[in-house]
Amino acid sequence: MTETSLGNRLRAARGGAGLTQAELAERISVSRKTINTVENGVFIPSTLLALKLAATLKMRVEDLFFLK
Amino acid sequence: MELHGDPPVPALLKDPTIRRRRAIVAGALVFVLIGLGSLQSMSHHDEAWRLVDIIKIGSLMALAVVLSLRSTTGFRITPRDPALEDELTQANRANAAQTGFWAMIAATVLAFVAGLNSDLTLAETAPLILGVGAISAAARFVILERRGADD
Repeated sequence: MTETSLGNRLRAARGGAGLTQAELAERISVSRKTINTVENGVFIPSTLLALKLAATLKMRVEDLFFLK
Repeated sequence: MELHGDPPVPALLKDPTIRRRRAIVAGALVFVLIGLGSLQSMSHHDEAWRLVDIIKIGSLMALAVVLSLRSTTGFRITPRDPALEDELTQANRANAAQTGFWAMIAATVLAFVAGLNSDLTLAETAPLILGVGAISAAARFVILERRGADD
């Protein structure tokens, strides 16, 4: 069976939107740690959080997260 | 298809039935350990009860009730800090509770085996078992929380 993991473009998208981790975290009411761990691939966010991130960064969720 | 991370924290939350079962077992274990430990120390009491003994036993029983309720239900005396209700923190807490649960089970088995060849009483081992569970859960939580602290 092929192992699949979740990749993301959150850091690039956040940088493109001119937001710091803390600012993005505040907009979606999570901690900065959550943003940091998602960006680093340590924490796989829930569907709800992934949708919130995509909506805040004005991206489609499948453009923000991908399988690798 | 499976997702693999380091570890994929939300995967620990995917089966609420197992989590609930673990919480109930852990709660029952805490209640039984503290409750029986208290009863055991009561049964060894040959002299008249002193106020300090009554307070000690009463406090242990109250602690058993509170810890059992806390680990099996959403019961809280004070409202939880919203900053600690973050999705990551919830996942880390669930992960840490799982670690504490297995550490407590392992400590219980070890205490049982040790008790076969010694005069250890439940009153002596119960705090150790609970301590192992609590400390391992706390340590695991700190480790998980630190993962997100640095950029």
